[in-house]
Parts: sequence; structure tokens; C-alpha cells
Amino acid sequence: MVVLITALLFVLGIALQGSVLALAGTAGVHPDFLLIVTVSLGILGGPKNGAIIGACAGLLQDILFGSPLGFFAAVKMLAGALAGMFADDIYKDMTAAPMTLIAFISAFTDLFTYLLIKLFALPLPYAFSAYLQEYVAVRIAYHFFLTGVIYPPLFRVQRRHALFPEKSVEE
Amino acid sequence: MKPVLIPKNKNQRKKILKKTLAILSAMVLLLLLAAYTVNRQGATWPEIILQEVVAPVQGAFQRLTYAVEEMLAAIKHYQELLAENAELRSRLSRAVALEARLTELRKENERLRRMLGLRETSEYELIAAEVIARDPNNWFSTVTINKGSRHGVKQWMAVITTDGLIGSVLSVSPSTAQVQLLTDTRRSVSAVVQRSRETGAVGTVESDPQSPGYLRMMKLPRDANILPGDTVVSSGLGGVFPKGLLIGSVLAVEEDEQGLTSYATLQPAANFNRLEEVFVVVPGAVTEPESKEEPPQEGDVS
Repeated sequence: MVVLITALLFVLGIALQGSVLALAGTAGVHPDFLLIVTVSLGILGGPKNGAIIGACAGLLQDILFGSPLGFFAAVKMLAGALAGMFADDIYKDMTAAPMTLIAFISAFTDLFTYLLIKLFALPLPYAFSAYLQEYVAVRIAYHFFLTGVIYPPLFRVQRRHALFPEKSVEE
Repeated sequence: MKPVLIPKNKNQRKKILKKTLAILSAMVLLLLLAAYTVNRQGATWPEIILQEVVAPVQGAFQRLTYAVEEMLAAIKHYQELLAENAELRSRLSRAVALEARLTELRKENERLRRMLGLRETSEYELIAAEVIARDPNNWFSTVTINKGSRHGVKQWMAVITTDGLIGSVLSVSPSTAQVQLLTDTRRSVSAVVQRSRETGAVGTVESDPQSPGYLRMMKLPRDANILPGDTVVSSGLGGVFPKGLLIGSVLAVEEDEQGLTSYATLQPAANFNRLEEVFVVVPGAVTEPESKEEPPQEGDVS
């Protein structure tokens, strides 16, 4: 069940990111639907499931949009794992908690991406200060509010253990 | 008020530590893979299959997006659209007359060229395509178009809009292709100032890291004949981009930090944020760069 729902969310996410969300973004900065899905499912499924889902989402993004294979897979895997690790620390039924968590994870993953870009000696399209102001901060806001829309239905599905079996989450 | 954090015991913390190590190991493997493929060009067959599977969904959403956007714009600007429609009708009638005249001139031109024995070098076959997806991240600017190898699209072919050059084909599947835009930091193009066409004023146009969305013409001699307002076109050097394709116009010319060369900030002719219909340029002969390490004049920046 989780594979089917996740696959559907990925395809929907990729399609939305490339179309509707790309138009919705301001100044070329767009929300990352796949990151929101990864973090939401990471919170509901734990670090192992979060990491696997994040790696798959990132790999899909790498393949479809020509970035180095494994680049965003590593970034999103870390995001999913972090979400899963903090899942036990927050009250999952409070939508404000995942919203706050994704704000931190969004900032962390964007900074981590910047670090990787430097590590791989790829040209940087932003100066660091501009990156923080014009990219990271805007995306935090996007992800914060969009999580408020995307997380609650996923939480309701998981409350009936339709996404992850209870045992899998405890692991 | 309910607290947000739940306290944890030591066993739980140990479990988390183990998982952290496992995840970090997997991350290292993925990053090694990324380092190995950082300069990859083209796509492997599993990637092509995946692109083929996802492309119809992307295309459907893209069309839906355009439809919604157009509908909203139509509601918002109804009166303007009426006036614009009248203006466009008027222009169309003038354009039809002009086209007829143009056809006559082209035929005359062809006749004269044949008479002079000149080889026609400036015309390219164009493959019309629609953008069906855009790269959502801001690091690697690529778009996916709905034409692929089945339609004659090949890797390295230049891609233009009616406004100007936008990039080149990065990889091809049977019915889609990934286009690497000029705003991608890995892409550059050899260019020349159209006004002067000096061999000394050949530069490399690439994404401007200081101003996202703008381009920068690098490696120009300090005394290059280039002024704000000048039009910049592809030079044809390097064999990837045919010569004479419009890239943009010069906004400002400045010296680099060392004062050895100068660079120009360019306003791209094409609007990279509004790419809908594009054309793949089919030149007489497409040549791949001889090697990745040493691209001729244009290609990978990295």
C-alpha cells in the first residue's frame, strides 16, 4: 500500500513540481513537493522508511532532471531520515509540529546542497548571502505552509495504519 | 499548552545512533555515485525508460497548468485582450502581406545565390517542441521537451525560441529530450558581438552567478569593441551551437577583478522563466565535442 501511495505521490510531485509549482514560485524559487512528501512520510514511517523514500524521491529527481546521479538522492535521504529520527520527539497529531520540523529540515537540506555543490566544485549560481535571503528563506516559508496542507491527509491515512504497519514504524 | 518534544530513554537513543550510522554509510555511497556521474552527458537505458513513463503525466500537468494560467489571465485582462486581439488581427493582415513579399524575396535570393554559386549556410531545419517539464531545483537548469530521437532530435542540438538561443539537448529518449539551458551553470556557449564581429571579441557566455536569470560574456579582451546595447550571437566555434543564433544584448561591460580581461552582463533574448514552445535546430552536421575534458569553445563549464 505504502509503495503504491508513495509512487503516486512521487509521480504527482514530479509533475506538479515541473508545472504548477514552477509557475507558483517567485523569482525562480520553487517549493520542493518531493521534500515535503519525504519529510511527511519520514515522520509517519520512521527513519528507515524516511531514508528509503527520500533516496527514491531524490534518485527520481536526479534521473528526470539531469543532476548527478545520487546527488539529490543523498540530500533527500538525509531529509527523510532526519524527519524519521525526530518523529518520536514530536506530537504527530499536531500539524504545527511537522510544519516546524520541515522548516528546519528545509534550511538544513538547502545548506547541505550548497555544501555539496562546493564539494563537487560545481559553479555556484548564487552568492552565499543571496542564497540565504533569496532561496533558503523563501523555501522555508513555502515548505512550512505547504506541509500544513499535505501532512494532515497523510496523517489521517496513517492513523488507520494504511501507509506503514505499526511494527514497521516502531522499527 | 501541550509540549512539542517527547523525552526519550537511553535504549531509544542507541537505536537512533545505529540507524544514523547506517544512513550515513548509504549517503556516502550515493555521494560517491554523484561524484562519479557529476559530468555525465546523456542518459542510460533505465533512465530513458523512466523518462518515457513519466513524460505523459508531466505533459498532462503542464497542459493543465497552461490552461489554468491562460484562463486566469483571460479573466484578469479581458478588456486588454479585446484591444490586443484587434491589434493582432491588424498585424496579422500586415504579416500575411509581408510573408508573401518575403517568399518572393527568398525565392529571388535563392536564385541569386545559385547564380553566384554560394553555399547556403545560414538556414537550419527546425523541430517544433513543447516544454512538458522544468527542473524544479535552482542548481541545474534543464527542461524536458516532448520531442525525442523518434522525431529526429539528437544530443548536442541547439534549442531556440522565437526570441533566441536557450540551450542544447542534454539527453534524448525516443519521445522526449532534456534541454540544458544557458542559465545552467554547467553550460556555456562561444559568442561574438554581432555589430563588430571582431575575432578578438569572441567570448564565452555562461550563467551569471551574481544575477540569476542573466548571462555573462566572459574572457573578453580589455580593449574589445563591445558596448551596452550590442547584440550577442553564437559564434559557431566549437561545433555545438550553429553560428548566428541570437543570445542576448549587452547591459554593462566591466573589467574582471585582476583587470586582465573584461566581461559583459547580458540580458538574455529568451525569457527562461516562460518557456512553452521551443525549436530544436537541426544543423547540416552536428559534431560532438571532441572530449569532455577539453570542450572546444563551449560546452561544460565544470
